[in-house]
Amino acid sequence: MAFLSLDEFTSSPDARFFKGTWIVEYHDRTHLPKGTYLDLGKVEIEGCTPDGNSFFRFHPPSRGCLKQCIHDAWKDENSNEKTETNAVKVILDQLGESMVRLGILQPHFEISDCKFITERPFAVVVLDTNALRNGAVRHLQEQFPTTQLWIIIPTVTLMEIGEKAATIKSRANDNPRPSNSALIRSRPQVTIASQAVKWIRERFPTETLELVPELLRAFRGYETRRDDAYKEPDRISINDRLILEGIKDLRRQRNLPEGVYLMSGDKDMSWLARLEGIQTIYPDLPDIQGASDGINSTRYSAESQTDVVCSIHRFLWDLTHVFSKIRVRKCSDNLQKCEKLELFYYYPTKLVNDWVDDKLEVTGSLGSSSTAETF
Amino acid sequence: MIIEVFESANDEATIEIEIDNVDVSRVLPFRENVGERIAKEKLKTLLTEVGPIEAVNPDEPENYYAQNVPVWQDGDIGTEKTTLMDIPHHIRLRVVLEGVLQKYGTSDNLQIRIS
Repeated sequence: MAFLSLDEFTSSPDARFFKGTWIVEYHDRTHLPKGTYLDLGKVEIEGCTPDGNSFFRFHPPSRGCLKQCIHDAWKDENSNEKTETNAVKVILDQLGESMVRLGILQPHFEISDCKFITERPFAVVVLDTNALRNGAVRHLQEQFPTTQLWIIIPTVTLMEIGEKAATIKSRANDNPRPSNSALIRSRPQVTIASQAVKWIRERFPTETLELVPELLRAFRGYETRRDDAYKEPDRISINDRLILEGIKDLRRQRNLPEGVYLMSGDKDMSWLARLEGIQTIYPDLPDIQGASDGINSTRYSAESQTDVVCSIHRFLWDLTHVFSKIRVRKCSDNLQKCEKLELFYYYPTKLVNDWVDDKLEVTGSLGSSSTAETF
Repeated sequence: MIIEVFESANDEATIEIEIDNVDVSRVLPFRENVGERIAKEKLKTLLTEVGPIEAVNPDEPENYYAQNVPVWQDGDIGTEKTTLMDIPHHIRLRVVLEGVLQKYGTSDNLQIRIS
């Protein structure tokens, strides 16, 4: 067992992938019985270059197969059709989001007043948490390379990261329950969104959008009320409203009637904002089930005439953020004897520095092969 | 290498994609189809057979890999930061052609020409 950063994991001799098909599975103690792993798909390594870069195709599980696996895993638990269907959707959505984040799949941008962003040299882009987590800023810059992006991160977005972290922590020690599979959706909101903030600050002019004090007083107070006679508004809708009003305030203060975009991965928020006269960018994520031949670890960006490449190590790294514990093993009948690697992101002894350095607990070895070096 | 994409039967290409550093003569089976128009169905078939012409010879990597290709790696896309990487010719060609199919595949008259 070792605690490794991504660079250490990539160069580890125990984590050298060689040509062949590998099964990727996950275990998450919040919603799966002990020792149960669910299939996340297959990775077909086509070969490695002499400098150790692997090229692969990822074959996601089919909806039906995944649903059956979930049903089998929870057969003795309090599970039902609706919970299982929701879990399948969450898992497939998160796989797709991961590949968008890593650049090998592209979102389709629905942009209001697209002419503005293509013809003007700059755009102010306000991000919500969903846009932070799915890496949409990177794709926006790729598709509009001549537009200078000025990024604004509302404080309410940062507060949402903290709120989600608290939610995940509070349910970490619950008994596993099928309905907890929804937590998979929350995890990237914490670990990946916070890393994305750092990434954006290092590459784009970035500022924080303060909350409008009057609205903060009016809305945030609801959350602490515990009066049963009063129906507490949904916290997410409060956060959305604070962002929308913050954008309107920003436009007034800086005299920017156009060119300030809300980029949100939430479709409802996007159309509501558009109806209120706010320019929006909605990144529509692709459905990974549409890729019948699998998804390549490389992509050619026609807009920028640049190749996009994702390493197998980075791909697995991202999956651990979302799915907690990832097991990769060679296609083999004998689970005990086959080469396998287990990656665990949320290990209990993780220190503050380990979180900052984004470390993983890595167990096992992939062994070695004469075909490891080349195709 | 230039890939011309035709969406109609006339001679005018919808788009020309120019890719540096891809040696199509090293890619099976496309090296047999250089200069000719390839229709959508045939393109799909050829893509299932794509591969290098021979196993890599460690002394001649340039025959196998497009070398020192600037790439955006591991999600670091859309920025000025690129990494230099060796990518097998057949993988680059396949990725571009799959991208063409994805983007223009709805056209019944789709044809491509590699030169």
